[in-house]
Parts: sequence; structure tokens; C-alpha cells
Amino acid sequence: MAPRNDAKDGEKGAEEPKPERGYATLATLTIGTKASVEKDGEKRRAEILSIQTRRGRPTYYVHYEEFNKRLDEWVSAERLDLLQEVEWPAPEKPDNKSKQKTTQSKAQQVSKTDSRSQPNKSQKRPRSATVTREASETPFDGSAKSSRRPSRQGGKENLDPTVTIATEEIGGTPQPEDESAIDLVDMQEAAVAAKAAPNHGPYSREEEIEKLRTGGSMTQNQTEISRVRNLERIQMGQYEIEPWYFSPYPAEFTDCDLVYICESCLCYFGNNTQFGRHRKKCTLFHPPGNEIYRDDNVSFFEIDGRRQRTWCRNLCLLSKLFLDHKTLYYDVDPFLFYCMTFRNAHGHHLVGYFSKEKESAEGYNVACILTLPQHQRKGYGKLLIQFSYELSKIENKLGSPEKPLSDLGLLGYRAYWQEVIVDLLLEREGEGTPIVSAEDIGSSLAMTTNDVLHTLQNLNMVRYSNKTHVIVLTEAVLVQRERQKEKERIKGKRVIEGERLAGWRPPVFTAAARTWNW
Amino acid sequence: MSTRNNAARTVRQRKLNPKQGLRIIRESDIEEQLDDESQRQVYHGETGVEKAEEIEYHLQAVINASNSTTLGARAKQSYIPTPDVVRAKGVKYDDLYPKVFKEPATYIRFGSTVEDSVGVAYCMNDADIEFLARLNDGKDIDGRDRKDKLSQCPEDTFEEVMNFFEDTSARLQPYANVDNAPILALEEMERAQEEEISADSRKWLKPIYKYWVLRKGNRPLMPSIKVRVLDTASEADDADPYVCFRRREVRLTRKTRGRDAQVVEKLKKLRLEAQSALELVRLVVDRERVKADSLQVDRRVFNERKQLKEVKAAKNIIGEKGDDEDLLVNQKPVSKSSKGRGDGQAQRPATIRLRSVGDGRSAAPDVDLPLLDDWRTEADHFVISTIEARKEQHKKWNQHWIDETKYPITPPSEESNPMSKWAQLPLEGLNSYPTPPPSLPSQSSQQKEGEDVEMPDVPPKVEEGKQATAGAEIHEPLSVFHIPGAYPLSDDEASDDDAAEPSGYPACRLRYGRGGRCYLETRKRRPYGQLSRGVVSDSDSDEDYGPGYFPVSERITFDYRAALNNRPTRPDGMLVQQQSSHGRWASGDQASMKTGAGAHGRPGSQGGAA
Ligand SMILES: [Zn+2]
Repeated sequence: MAPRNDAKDGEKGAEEPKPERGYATLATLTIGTKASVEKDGEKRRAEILSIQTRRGRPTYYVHYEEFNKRLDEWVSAERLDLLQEVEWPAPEKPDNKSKQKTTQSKAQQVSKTDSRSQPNKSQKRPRSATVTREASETPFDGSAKSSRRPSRQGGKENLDPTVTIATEEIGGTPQPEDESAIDLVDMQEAAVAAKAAPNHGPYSREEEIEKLRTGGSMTQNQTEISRVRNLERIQMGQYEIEPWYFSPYPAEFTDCDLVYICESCLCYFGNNTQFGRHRKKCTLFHPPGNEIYRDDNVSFFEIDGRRQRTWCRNLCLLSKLFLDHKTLYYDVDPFLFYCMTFRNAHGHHLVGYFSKEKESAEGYNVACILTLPQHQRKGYGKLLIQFSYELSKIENKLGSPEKPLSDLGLLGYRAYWQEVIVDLLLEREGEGTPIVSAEDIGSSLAMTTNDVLHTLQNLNMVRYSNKTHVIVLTEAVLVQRERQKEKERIKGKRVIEGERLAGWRPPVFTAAARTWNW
Repeated sequence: MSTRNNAARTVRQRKLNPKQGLRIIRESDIEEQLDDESQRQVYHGETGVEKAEEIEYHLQAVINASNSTTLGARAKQSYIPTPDVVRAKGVKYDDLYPKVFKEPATYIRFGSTVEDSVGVAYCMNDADIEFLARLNDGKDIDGRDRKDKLSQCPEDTFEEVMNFFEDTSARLQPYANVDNAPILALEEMERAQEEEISADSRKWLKPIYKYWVLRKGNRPLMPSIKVRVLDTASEADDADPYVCFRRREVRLTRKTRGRDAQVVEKLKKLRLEAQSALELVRLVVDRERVKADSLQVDRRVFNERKQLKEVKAAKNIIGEKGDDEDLLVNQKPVSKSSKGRGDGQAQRPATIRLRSVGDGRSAAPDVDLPLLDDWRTEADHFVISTIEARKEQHKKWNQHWIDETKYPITPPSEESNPMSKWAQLPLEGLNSYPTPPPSLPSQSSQQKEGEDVEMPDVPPKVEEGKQATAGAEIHEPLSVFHIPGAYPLSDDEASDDDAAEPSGYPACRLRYGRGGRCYLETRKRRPYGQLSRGVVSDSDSDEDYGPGYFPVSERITFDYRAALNNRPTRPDGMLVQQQSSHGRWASGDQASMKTGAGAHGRPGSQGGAA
């Protein structure tokens, strides 16, 4: 662990101002600080994204460096290793703020920022949303505050104001309970903003919002995705699931230990009694659309975001819990949702889905794709992917999923591409016509040539022999394929039977229905 | 071996042609043994995963494992860890989701929405259940015995009532959470009721209302997501992560004004057209009525005549020949009316007549043909009047402004009489300051700030109009710097235009500029065709010979002019130079510097400014 961190720091040091390091106490820890945190028996550097007081004890929401955000979590103080130096948050770039610096006392700063954050509190944060569990007490004494990071106080002028507020308010400034709780939430956002600021992506937020208005469903924008997870747990059907990411469910749910989601209509409830009442009235047994595919295992329903706005919104809210880059900024109208279910006497049970733009300018055949966590690692992902390509085949189009892919998405697609390409090559070889171009492969599988080439090269299957390119069915891929077939023989093979989709026709939309407006 | 491999490597740089058929072979078929580095390198293509995530520890572990598998090594299976999923405890699944679903034989077709399928949206919580129990126990909200005669309130009814309160208050006070609006009175809500509420539930409105008020905060009782239906998108909304599912509209505030105006124009036009169509239909109706009336009259006349004829025949009255003529059906009025109709036809609107052009010609071959000359005059007249109108318009637009653009649409006023302000500056006069020529504008107009060119009041003549439009044409770049009439274009032309001008002394004039500044301008025959495409050398270099001209591209000339225009005015010494910023007179300035008249120009202008 340590060597890698060092190497990384060395890299950074070349360009950026070296982050300030030092020893911290619990009282001096602030949002944005990177400390060593124990994770699964290892020490790992993690950034503190939020601080809350629960049952009188501080807890820290941390993001582990080089771990996916889905592993972000609340940790107790015991898991922080403060014997190691921490990395203080980077000061803001020296700018005009430094003009109004030195003379301004700490107290002034606090009161100033206070007054700034006060007016929007009442409207921005509903009261009920801010009452944190076991209302925050003020755990630190005043002396801790004054001892905080003396080096910085004395030295650099351009203190990050958000950091200052954070410490001040947690640090026992006497305030009504719920107000300090409000500030905690606000602080999270401030931290997100601060974190996002130096991260110059290819798009500005405005540009990206405009881009999303006319196409796509994925965002790269940090302000959209770097959020503290807001739901603790959800219950869906027979499962209790830990959400992975933030999703804009009602803000009230932040305080619920468990959010109940109806398996049929995907409506959400913060309370078991209400959920029970809902189940008495809910008459849906399957996704509210037309069944376009059915085999022994699964069914697919095609749902128009425009016609089933509530259901599709519910689905998006749910899937946002597990898709980091999905954006819910805009409405669901321009998308179709292909929902895979399995059936039993209770009805249809949603397993996963993919959304698809009614008209994709980029030629994507999938916008978002998700297997619900309770059904992951059972091969359903591959079915979803395969189904998306079966649709593209009928449409006579080459498809590719919208980028960015998630890590799991990438692995799912790579596995699928490898399998179908290797199978096709074996088939061609077996037919005795062992010559095929990348475009042939693409059109046979409804894949873009680009994806075909990437897959072949990734698997080291394109070689140069006798002054010409050849495709090599390597031992490695053949062994992998054999192993997989063995698995299928044992567990049973699940595939989409394309011929069962023969009745499906690509939905046609009038210009008005396709439009990105309402 | 190694050289061979190197060769292979360089050739392999060639891009793979995706259209080219590639042979599928097994590893064992490869002739060259491929255990060298070049064949074993791992391909690093685009993954499609965001860069920051691509380097994540667990993903890298999986990718590395699969890469080494690709290279034939055995790697430990890696996976990406995800948060827990567990079987929920204490869930009575069969109760929540009863086993009543029957799979239809055919594919399901379904169009109902969630709203259609989940009944009343409001769902009771524990507090509601408690209250309802008390209510059904015969107690009201305060714990006193209920006075109404109602019996038991079922759960569904309770929810319907609560839902009614929630819906109605949300509808009537959509911004209650912002406004802190007072909670609506029961009567108010009953009045505003839109959806049908069952008679059963209506009975319970009153007993439950008090309870609802007690529970009601400024938020909906059923938590809801934040959706902005109205276009109130503000910065705050944008930053609020809880606001979702926005409409995909371009921000109204930015784009709509222009579009609205367009739409309004279109609607106006449509309305006008519809109105004229309506008018036409009305006229047609009128005409048909008149026709009907006239037919009635004709019929009556006919009948009367018939009777008269009968009477005459019966009484054997034989009048003069002419009298009997009256009894016959008179063709005259008919022919008259037909003629009238023909006139009407001639007066039909142009659009309709157009269709029957052929008929018209054959019917009236001797109609006066319009003379070509008349047409021409008319066309000329039209053109001239259009130009006049445009010019007036431009003048109006340009009032209080000088058009310093490259090809001014409204030419400077000097054009009307460019020579009037120019006068000879005799060499003897060098000792005295030049006085303004009598044709200068009046004192009052001088004081008008920034108005150094006055628009002539007299309407320009047609020729001028032509000139003005010609100025806007592209093939005349020279005129940018050229005061029309101030300089003859060539020596030959000089004799025509400027015969009156004695050539001994430079022509000068005093011109009033912005802020009452005074400019003395001199004219000199300038090298034709150079200045306009070049830039004048710096004024420091006023030596014996004329200013140096450097051919520069027009674009740069323009930039140079623009730069000069932006230069801040300096109090002294710059005046003359600043003059050159007005491009048109650049050559004149330079000339004045050279001939020495410029030396007087400066004090003169200062005097004027004072
Ligand atoms: Zn439901």
C-alpha cells in the first residue's frame, strides 16, 4: 500500500502544490482531509467526504483512494489511523480571495459564511430531512477548535472557507440542534463542490447539461456524481440491498433506516406500514408495457418513457442507486425501457433492464444497463446485453453501449463480446470458410466494427503472419470457451432465443412523440 | 530471428483494414513462432470507462488477470466487490405479494399507468392507523365523543379523504412550502374540489380534517421527489441534486423572445387570412341572396305579364305594335345584367382573374396594350421611390451617428455638395489662422455633441440615391477612403469635375468633430489606388518626400483603422493624427503635414475647439 501512495504523491508533486501533511486529531479532521483508514484489515488512504455525529460519536463518510465509490462508507473514529500523517485538503488556488485575507479574523469568517448559508436553508432543506438520527450533539470542546492546525492558521492565507465552516460548526459552536444538522448536509455539498472544482473534465456543467438535453443518459460531471450516498438500505421483494450511490429519492428518506420499494410498481416508501398499505392496493404484476419476448426463464417488456412516466421515473430512481454515471437531470421521455423479468406465482419480478434512446444520434443501442444487485452474478447481465444486440439485428443497425461504461459494465460487455466473437469464428472455421473481415463479424453480431477490433486486439487475436493479418483462435480463448461451456452444461445455459423475437418490430414514433420536449 | 521480427513489427504498423477478409487460424497453424515480445504485448485500447475509474484497484486486478489469461498464463479469478445484498428478515413475502398471478398464454399487452394501478396514492402510517382506531372508537381528534352519526370509517375511505386533502392543498397552494401559506379551510377545499370524491368519503371530510391539519406541515405527507413542472428552473434548482426529471426545454428566458415574435407574426397573418376568407364567403352569400331576390322579381314580372297577356287576349285588346313588345319577355334587362356581370368579372380580384387569362385575351383582344415606356417609367418610379424610402429609413436609423463602416449605406453628408466646404488656402495666409469658410454649419449645430456630420435636410436627388446604393456594392473598395468628388479619380477626370479648382494651393476646410473639436483638413492629389489598400507610415516620418505607403492586405487595413479608432484621444499633438483615424481623410492629413499647412492646422483646430 505505502509504496503506491508514495509513488503517486511523487507524481503529483511535480505539477501541483504538494499537499500539506501533518498529524491530526479527531477534532481537527475536516472534510477533504485524507487519512489512513482501516478497510478489510488493510490500511488505505481515504478522503473524508462528510462528518456526522451519531449517538454522540463522530462518524466519517470516507472514499477510499482507487476504490470505486460504491465502497464509500461511514466509519467510526476507531478505524482512522491518526498515528499516520494525514493530507490536509488542498488550499484553494490563490485568487482574488487572498485580497480580503489576513485582517479577517476567524470569527468574522465564520459569521460571514453563516449568514451566507442561512437564508437558503429553510427552503433548500426541508426540516424533516435534516433531523439526523440521534440528533447531533456537540462532541468537541472549544479547546479542540483553537488547537486546530496551527501551521495553516499561521501560515497560508487562502484557507478553504468551506473547511473553516465545517470545523467551526462541528466544533461545538452553540447552535440549535437541527441547524447544525442542516449545516452538515450543506457541508457535504460544499465538499463535493470543492472536490469537483479542480477536476476539469472535457465538458463544463452547462455544456454537458445541454448535451444531455438532446441525447444520452450518462454524465461525467463530478458535481453530478460525487455525492454522499443518501439511502442507508432498501428493501425490495425478499431482499435488503445496500445502495451504491446517491439517488434523488425524496430528501426525507435520508433519515430512514430502510426504504421500501414495491417490486411491481417500484414506488418507494419510507415506512413499513405505508408500504404494507400500498401493497394492498397495488394491482401491477409486471412492468406496465407490452411483453415482447418470453422464454422458459425470462420475459422482456418494452416500456415507453413517455407513456409510463411514473414507472420509468421510479425505475430510474432505483437504478441510479447502482449506476454512478447515470443522470436523472432530464426526464425519461426520449427513452424506451427494456425490462427483463422472471415469473412465478407472485407475478413478474424485475431482474434488470436497459434503456435505449428512441433515436440515438451516436448510434447507441443501450443507454443505461443494470442487473439489480439481488440478481447479479447469475448470468442475467449477459442476457440483457444479448437482447440489446438482438434488437439491433432486427433494426438492421450496428449498436454499441453509451459511454462511459461502469467497471461492471465493461467486464460484462467484454465477456459477451469475447464469447460471441469466438463462437462466430469457430462456426466459420467449422463451415470451412475460414475467412472473415472485422466488418463481417460486426454485421453478423450487430456490433460496431470498432468494438469488434477492440475485442480481437484485447484478446491478442489479431496477428501478423506471412505478411498479412490473420485472426488467431488462441489456446487461451479456446480454453476459456471450453470452461464456460462446461459451466453451462452444469448450470444450464441461458440465451435469448432470437426467433422468439421475430414478432417484434422497432417502434416507430411520430416526430412529436420522439421529441426531447414534453 | 530478431531481424525478421523487427521487420514484422514494422510492417505490422500498417493499419488493419476492417473490410479485408482475414484468415481464421489456430495458434498451432502459425508458421513463425510467436514467443517474441512484440506478439505478446498487451493491447491497451479504449475501455470506455471513465479515466479516473479505469485505474481503480479492483477493475485493474480483473483486467490484469484477464490479460495474463490471454497470454496463456493462469491467473487467479478476480472480481469487483459490491455492497451487500441479503435476504430481508421478517418479510411476509406471500402476504405482501400474494400468489395470484396467472400467466396468460399470449404475450401481455398492457397500457395502464402506475396511477391507474395503485389506487389512492395516500397510504396510512402508524399515526393514521392509531387515529383511525380512535375515530372508529367513536372519539374525535381531541378525544371527545364524536357527535356525528357516522359509524365506522374504513381504511380506504380514510386514505381517500387524506388524499383529497393532500391533492387539493397541493393544487391550490403549489408553493406552500416556500410561502408558508396558511392551511386551507375545509370549506375552501370542498369548493375547489375537482375530482369526484365518493359520497362515503365526503361524509368523513369533516371529522378527518382536523386530524389532517394537525399532521400537515409545509410538506406533502407522502414524500415525493422534486420535479419542476413549471419552468422555474433557477440556479438554485440546477445545483439541487434532488431536483430531477426536468423537461428538456431550452431555457425559456434565453431564446423565446425572437421565437415568440415569430409565432405572433405567423398567428397574425393566419388571422388576417382567415378573416379575408370569411369576408369572401360573406360576400358570396350576399351575392347569392341578391340573385335569389332578383330571380323572384323576374318571376313575378313574368307572371304579371302572362296575366296581362291573358287579359289582353280575353278582352281582345290590341294595342300598338310597340305595346305588345312589352309583353314579350324582354331581353333587354337580361342582356344588361349579363353585361353588368361581365363588368363584375373584369373587376374580380387579380388572383382569380389570373386563372382565366386566356379567356380574357380572346374575349377582349382590343384592350389597350400597356406601352413598354409606361412600364419602364413605372418601374423606374418604383425603384426610385423604394430607394428614397430606404434612404429615409437609414437616415432615421443613423441619426446622431456617423457611419464609419467600410461601405457606408448612408454616405456622409458632404456628398451632397462636397466641394462647398473646401477652400483654397493661399500661401500668403500661412501667417494667419485660417477662418472657417462661410458654409460651415451654424453655431447651434456645432454644439451638438458628437455630431460632426449633419444629414442634409433636402431630400437627395435620384442620382444620389443611386450613388448611395452603389456605395454599398462590393466592387468599390476605394471609396472607403475617398471623399466622392473631393478628388478626381484620374487626371483625365479631373478636368471634368474640378475644372473650377485652381491647382496652386492645397484645398482646406475646417471640420467640427466630436466634442466640438476642430479639424483643419487639407487636400492634395493623392496617389490613386495606393492608400486604400495600404497603411500610411507613421507620422513621425514626415520628411521631404511624401508618406510611405506599404501595401497591406485589406483586412489589416481594417484592423488598423479599428485600432486607431480605439485609441484614447490625447489632448494635444494627436489631433491631426487622430484625424487619420477617420480613414477617409488620411491622405489629406499626411499631405498637410508635408506641405506645412499642417503646422497651421493644429493651432487652428485648437482655436476652433476653444
Ligand atoms: Zn406497487
